[in-house]
Order: sequence, then C-alpha cells, then structure tokens
Amino acid sequence: MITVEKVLFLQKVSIFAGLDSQTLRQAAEITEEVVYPAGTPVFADGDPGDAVYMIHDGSVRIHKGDVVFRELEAPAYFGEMSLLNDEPRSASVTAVSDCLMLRIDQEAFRELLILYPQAALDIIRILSQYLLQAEAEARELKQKAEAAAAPEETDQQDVSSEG
Amino acid sequence: MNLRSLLPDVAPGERRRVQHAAAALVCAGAAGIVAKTMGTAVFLNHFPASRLAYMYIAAAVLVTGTFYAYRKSLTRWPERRVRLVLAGLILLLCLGVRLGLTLPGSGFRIAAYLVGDLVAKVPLVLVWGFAAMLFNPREGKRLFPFVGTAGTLACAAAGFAIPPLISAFGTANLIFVVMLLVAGFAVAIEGYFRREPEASKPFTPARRGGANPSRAGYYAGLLKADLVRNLGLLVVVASISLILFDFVFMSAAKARYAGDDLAAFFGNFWAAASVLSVLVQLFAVRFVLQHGGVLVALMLLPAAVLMSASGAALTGAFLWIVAAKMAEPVFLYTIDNAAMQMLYMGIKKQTRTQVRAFVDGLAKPLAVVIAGGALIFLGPRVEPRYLAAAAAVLCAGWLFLARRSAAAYVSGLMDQLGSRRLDPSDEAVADGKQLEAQLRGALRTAPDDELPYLVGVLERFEGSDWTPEYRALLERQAPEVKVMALGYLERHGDRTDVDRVATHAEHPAAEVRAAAIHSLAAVAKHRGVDTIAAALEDPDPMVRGAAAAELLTVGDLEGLLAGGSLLRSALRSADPEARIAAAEALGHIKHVGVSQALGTLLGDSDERVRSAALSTAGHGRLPPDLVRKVMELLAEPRLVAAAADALVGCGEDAIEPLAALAENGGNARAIRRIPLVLARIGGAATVPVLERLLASADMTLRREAARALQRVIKDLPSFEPYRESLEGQVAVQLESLAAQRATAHALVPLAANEALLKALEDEQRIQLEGTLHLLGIGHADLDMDRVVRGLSSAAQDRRAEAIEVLDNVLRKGDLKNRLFEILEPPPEATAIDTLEASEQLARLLASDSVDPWVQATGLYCAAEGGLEQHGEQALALLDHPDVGVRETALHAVSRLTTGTAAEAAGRMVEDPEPRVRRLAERIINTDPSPRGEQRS
Repeated sequence: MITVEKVLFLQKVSIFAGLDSQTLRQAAEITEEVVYPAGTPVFADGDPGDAVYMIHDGSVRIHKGDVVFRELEAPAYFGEMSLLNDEPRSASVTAVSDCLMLRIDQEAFRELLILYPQAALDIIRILSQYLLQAEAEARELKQKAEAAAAPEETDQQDVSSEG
Repeated sequence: MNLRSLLPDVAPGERRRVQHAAAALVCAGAAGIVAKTMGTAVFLNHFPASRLAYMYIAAAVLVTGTFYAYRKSLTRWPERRVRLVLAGLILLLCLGVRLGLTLPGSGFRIAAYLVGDLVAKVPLVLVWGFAAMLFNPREGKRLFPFVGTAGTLACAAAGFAIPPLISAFGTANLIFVVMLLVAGFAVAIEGYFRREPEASKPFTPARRGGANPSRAGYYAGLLKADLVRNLGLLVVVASISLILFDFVFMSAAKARYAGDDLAAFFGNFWAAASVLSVLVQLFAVRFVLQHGGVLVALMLLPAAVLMSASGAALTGAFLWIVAAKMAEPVFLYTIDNAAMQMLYMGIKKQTRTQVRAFVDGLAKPLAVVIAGGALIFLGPRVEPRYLAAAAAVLCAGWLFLARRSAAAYVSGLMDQLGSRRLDPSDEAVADGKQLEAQLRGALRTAPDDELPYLVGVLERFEGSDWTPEYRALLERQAPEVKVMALGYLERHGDRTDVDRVATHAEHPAAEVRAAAIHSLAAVAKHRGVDTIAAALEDPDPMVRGAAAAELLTVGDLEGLLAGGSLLRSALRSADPEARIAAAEALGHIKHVGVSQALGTLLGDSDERVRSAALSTAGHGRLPPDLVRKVMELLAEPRLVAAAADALVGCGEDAIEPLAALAENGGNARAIRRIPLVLARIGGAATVPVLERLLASADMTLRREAARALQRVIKDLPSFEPYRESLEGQVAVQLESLAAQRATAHALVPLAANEALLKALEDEQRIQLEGTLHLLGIGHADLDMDRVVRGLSSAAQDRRAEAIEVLDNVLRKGDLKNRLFEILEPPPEATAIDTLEASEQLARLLASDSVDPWVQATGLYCAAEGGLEQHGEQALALLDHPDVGVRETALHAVSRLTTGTAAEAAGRMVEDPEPRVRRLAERIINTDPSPRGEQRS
C-alpha cells in the first residue's frame, strides 16, 4: 500500500477517524504492513504490549486459551491499550483468515501523540467509551445475577416456611 | 421588487420547524390581540381609566402566579404536558368569563380584563420558548423574522376582523374567537412533537429532598451571569416605560371614545399597528438584525418611544400619544422581540428556561407592580403629558441597558463555546501579606507531595525572603524536597548555611549530594573546596560532574585542573550517563565559556544527553552560536519543548536565525514550531518576521504565524501601526480561501477523490483558522481559540454560536462580508463537468504553491480515476522533494503510462526513501500494477 491508500484506510478506523489529513499522513508513515496467514498467532497472552494493529483485510479472534472473547473483522483495530501502558497483553489474538494488517510500534505512536495532541484526545475519548461500556456491562451482569438470585431466595423462603 | 427575495432561505430540514413555529405564533398573536381588545373594552366601558393602575398590578399578579406554577410544574411533569394543561386551563377560564359576563354585576368585567391580559402574554412566551428550542442562534437570526412576520400578519388580520365581529356578535363574544385561537396554538406545538417525537427530550423529574437551593439562592445563582442581570434590568425598565405610556394612551382613548366605539377604536388601532408591523417585519427586521446586529435591534424601540413620548410630553397632542403607543406593537413584537430572543441564546441552554421564567414571571411583573403602584398614586394627580415625560426619561435608561445587554450577550456566547481554561493568573494573584503568611504556614505543614505546587505559587512573591522556610524543608526526609531546598539556598543562602548544606554532601541519594555540592559552592565559596574536591571521587557521575563544574568556579589552580580534566573525560565518555552528568554540570559553570562543549552535547547521538544539554541551554546558558543547533532539535518530538525553552531564553538574539531557518526551508516540523517560539520571545521585532511567514506555502506554518502574531501584538502598546498591513493580509488570505473553495468544488465530479477532497478541506480549515487569528488581532477581548474550536465542532449549535460571536464582534465591511460568504456559503448552483474538473486537477498538479499532500492525493485521484492525460504530470513529479508526492507519482505513472513505468521505476530505485525504493522494485520485478503485486 502506498501512503495515500494507508491514509484512506486509517480514516475508516475509528481511533483515527477524527484526525486531519496531515496527522493521518504522519500516522500512515509510521505504520508497517504485516501479513498473518490463517491460524497464525499475532501475539499471545502475557507478551509485551508493544504495538497496535489495524486489520485491513481478514479477521482475527481475541481469546484466552479456549475462551473466545470476540472476533474482529476489517476494518478494525486491537492492542491499543499497549499504547498508553506498558502492561503485558491481557489476551491472545490469532488470525482467523489470511490477514493484512498495519502495525504501529508503541514508541512511534507515542511520538505521534506528542506531535499531534488531537490524536491523544481521540484515544482518551475512545478509552473513556470503553470504561463506560465496561461499567454498563458490569451493571447489567450484576442485575442479571441479582435477578437470578431473587427467585432462589424466594424459593428458599418458601421452603423454610413450609418446613 | 421580487417578493420572493423577502422570504428567507429555508432548508428542507428546517421547513417543518418553521411551519409549526409560525402556526403557533399566528394563533398566539391573534388570540392576544382579540383577547386584549375584548378585555380592555369590556373593562373601560364600565370603569374609569384611573382604575387601570390597579388592573396592571392584578394582571401582573395573575401572570406571575401562572409562570410560577408553570415553573414548579416543570420539575414534576414533562414540559410538553404542562404546556397542554396550561392551554386547557386558559380555555376553561375563557369559557367561565363568557358565562360570567351574562350575569349582572361588574366582577366578571374585571375577570375579562385579566384573562385578556393573560392570553396576550402567556401563549406568546410559550411560543418563543418553543421556537428557541427548535432553532440555533444562526437559524434564529435568519428565520425568526419570517416566523415573526407570520405572527404579525395574523395580528393585522385579527385587528381588521374585530370591528365587523363586534358588529355581528358583540364585544363579549369575541372570547369564543380567542378560545379557537388558543386551541390552534396548542395543536401547532403538540403536532410538532407528535411528528418529531425525538425532539421531545426525555423527562427526568427533579429529585425531592436533598440539598435543593433556596429560592433566594436559586435566583442569586441565575443572577451571577452578567447577561441575566442586564436582561432583568432591561425588561424592568422597558416594562415600566411601556406601562406608563399605556396608561397615557388608554386615558386619552377613554376620553375620546365610549361603548362599542372604544372596542372598534382598539381594533382599528391594532389593525393599523399590525399593518405597520408587517411592513417593518418584511422590510426592516432581517436587514436590521443582519446589518445592525442585536445592539441596533434592541435600541430601535426605546429610541422610537423616546422621540414620540417627548413629542407627547411637549405638545400633549393625541396624535403623538397614538404614535408613541404604536411604536410598541410596531417594534416590540417585531425587531425588539426577535432581538430579545437572540439575547436568550447567550444564556446556557440548561438555564435558558429558568431565566425565561425569571424574566417573564418575576422581572416583568415586578416592573408592572412598580409602574402600577406609581400610577395609583400619580394617575389621578398628574397630567398625562408629565407621565409621558417620565416615560421618555426611562427610555434613555432603556437605551443604556440595551447597549450593556448586547455586550453581555456576545460574552455569554463566548462562554458557551468552551469552558474557561484554568488561568493560573486568576488565582492567588493577590500579593498581600495575608496570602504570604498562609503560604509560610503551609510550607511548614504541607505533605511532601504538595510542596512542588506551593513552591510554584511562592515564586510569584519575588521580593520576599523564604530562606527560613527552605531551611526547614531541608530537614525533611524526601530527597526531592531536599533538592528543592538546596536549590533555593544555592541562590539565596548565606554563610550560616554552610554546615547544614555540607552535611548533605554525603547523603545516600546522588541527586541530593549533587545539589549539596552546587549549594555549598554558592554559600561557602572557596572554603568548601575540600568537600567539593572529595566529591570528584563520588561513585555517581552526576555528583562528580557537579563537583567538577563547581571547582572550575570556586577552586584554586589544582581544583581547576582536576575539575577540567574530569569534565573533559565525561564529555568524551562512551557512557551516556557520564555525558548527561557533564551536560548538567555545564549549566553551573559561571566564568568559563561552555559553547563548544554544549554544542557537542546538543549533537549527541543519545536523546537523553541532547535533552540534558537543552535543559542547560534553557537556563540562560545558550550562546548565540548554538541557536541553529537548538533549532534543529525543534523537529524532535521529545525535545521540542526544551528546545523552544532554550531558544526563548536566548531572546532577541534568536529572532534572525529563526527567521532565516523558516524562510530558507528545512525540516517542516521544526519550522512549524518557529512562530510559537517567536511569540514567546515577543516584541515588535518579531512582527515583520511573522508577517513574512504568512506568505508561506505551508498552510500550517501560516496558521501558526497568524496565531503567534495575535499573541505578540496583543502584548504591544498599540495595534494601530499594524492595522493596515494586517487587514491587507486578511484580504489575501480570504481571497486564497475562496479560491480553495472553488477548487474543491470543481474537483467533486472526479472519481477516487476522497483523499483529495479531505486534504483540501483540511487545508481550508487550517487557512480559515489562520485568517481568524489575524482578524482577532484587532479584538483584544475576543478569545479566538475558543471561536475556532466552536467553528470546528461537529455540533451545529456550537458552530452557530461561534459564527454569531463573530457576527457581533467583527467590524462591518468588506472583510467581514467575505468571511461570512465562506462561513455561511450559498448553495453551489453551478454543475461542474468532468473535463473542467480534470483541468482543475492539472492546474493543481502543476502549481508550486500547493501543499505536497494535496498534490499527492491529486495524483492518487488521477491514478485511480484512470485520467491518462495526467500521466506526463506524474512523470514530472517523480523529482518532487516531498516523499509522499514522489511515491504517489510513481504509483500514478505505473497506472497511467504503459511504456514508461518500468523506466521511471528504474530511476526511483535509487530514491533516498525506502518506501519509494520498495515500490519501484515491485514495479520493475513483477506486475506493473503494485496492487496486483500485493494481491499475488
């Protein structure tokens, strides 16, 4: 892919969608094209988090052992948490089909953020959306758990009263 | 004259909103005229005019009570439901009054007056609240006059209909017409929400209990806003003036007419006033709002009443009285009302309804009570012409308040464009003894992690001695606090500090030992040489560096030689830590030139060493011959801030080298930082340099230069010497912007133009930002950054508010008109064909002054669109200095030319950029189509 094509692709990836042409160009210039045949691991749980990946073609699975969290199809991105912290990967990612991806190295991306604070703001916006989403999911799970527990308690009360 | 030109441009998305707002206003306006005429005539035919003073107060109480109940209801039920219930109650009241008028006695005549007043006021307020919810400030400015015209036409029609209706059914039966119109008003508003259910905001009832503010606290909170205060005062003064004159008018009318003649006179009066209103609405409102702005619109009514009331006061003639009274419907319900609605736009959306309820439900009735009270006392005793004179005097105050409100409106809009940034100069600015004493106490008791903040604050107290506090801080355990204290004592300590500092030369933390060495050299001079010399053997390079630097300053010959030797070996060391220590040490050498050593370190291969050298340079140690070297570091993301600091520290000596770098070209990233550095240096000498940068082909550099100019000129004594030249610059920028717009429009028909159009759009945005910063130079109070953020916002309301700020702040003239053609462009009418688009693309590719990224995306558009006529241009651009252009040109050549692609690729395998070389190799080795190669 030439730089203009990378820019056109990055525009479709939500983490970059709000950036202007010059910033997108800078981002495109620090990307590296990588190819993963189907079944190849991109990284494993516990690996150092050193890059973010954007899927141009193909799809990947995010999993921890046999537990699959979700599948991502192009255009999508993953591994963005490593851009802001130095924690190891919290899950594994494996190519489901042949994948063409753009990879951005952590250090290069941090330099981009220093140069273009707008990109940093967009990352913050996306991460805060994650937090809100996670909070909503946690709340929903709690409600489901409470709802599931409630009939049991009632049953137990019924049983004890019967007893 | 083409009557269509009087109609506003209503976008398809606005049509439904306009229809419903206009229908609601038609019904509410007509209902008000009929109800008021009916109520006043029924009342005055039974009671003397002097009783009107009581009625003003009673009506005010009724209206206030209604608005109070309305506001309370909004906390419990959705606004939509409350509005419907209110309309239903008004209908019931009307019915009750009509039934009551069939009974003997005068009580229901009073009720008829009150209901007439209620219908004349409440629905109108609700309609304007509804309209303000539907439109943003820019839409409001364009469409409110049209909506208002519909209402005024309805008023005229209602006025003309009143005399025949009275002849046919009698005055009292006019109330059935009122009921029909009130029902129509409710249907128009409710109908909108039925069609657009998402427009009705989800309702959240106010929580009961908890820490609800008291009513006094509630109003005090509202009144904190400058605009709300001015608006309240304006309404009070305006209402008192108008009531005084209403009394004069009613008394004069009652003296001349009686019975159904009185009602017919009122009907004819309102009809004539409405016709005049329509003329004003059609021919003046839009013109006044667009050309005179909110200020002129607010001043028209008081100016008209002032003139005619003065005439009435001087002559006592009925004609002057009628003229003064007629100014009210002619201007109040047209220009003045529209301008007053604009004022509400300057209030935050969250509090707009409350402010409206405060103004209409409290300020207005309060004014009525004041005026009514005055009239109860003065009405029977004072001649009407003296009351007219009093009204004229109040109008002068009204004019003054109109001016203040218009200024507060612009300021309110500015506040809405973004929350205020924290300005450290806003806090703790007082250099009073009280704050100083508090700081001294805080320094002794504050935990370690709060000390850096406190130290930052006390740096503003330049004349104060903080030595005792820092001596106490030296006793703390935290190394960073000790370093801070030692640093202060290095600058301000004396001989009494020698022992307490010397003990820290053996502290376990290396940074404390290094700081102690510097401090010891400062307070002990040559008496500390032994301790300092011993530190040359310290295991940490930073401490050794500190010792070496200080021996060069305070040491004897032996110390000088030892220090110099150690420093030289540190400068040449392979260990970056040693070189970092050497860089830090250079900052402490006072009497020996360090230019050469610092220059070496600024070019070090290790970024941390360069950073340390920059830090030293930034502390006032940058010799002029190192300016160029530091400028190069502006391109490094992690060093840019330190490099900028160092250049700023160099002061005016840096201006010419910076100008030369910017004008002769070099690393674009570094050059784009230069305006900001110049802005921080400041002074008149930077202005011509920045003005020259405004002519750069790089849009980002132009914008940064404009922003820097705004900052520099704001701090100069006067803007006037630069006005002419800057206005010329703005004109050039606007011309360029218009040309860019035309270019982008012409390229729309091309295929694969997505990247090209975005690049052009971004260029236009950057150039517009630069132009706005130039325009902002002449407006010191205008926060142009905030306006720019508003204009870039995806939210239409924020964008509209930003444009409205500019509309009110910028001076009228050609520049403003041209800017607004860009901000609010008319729809593009002309269709462009592909041939014309291709010609435009050819011009763009051939230009030397176009941004390289635009050319790259243009080449891509040609390549993917198969525009073979641009193949030659692509070949020519293979030698372009920008890598993106070369890469895309090669891609285009491979797509658009058949015979020359391999040959061109052969040339490019030697390109300095790896990605261009890779593309060239792919073209040579495999398929001429790089995409085909990728797939394979």
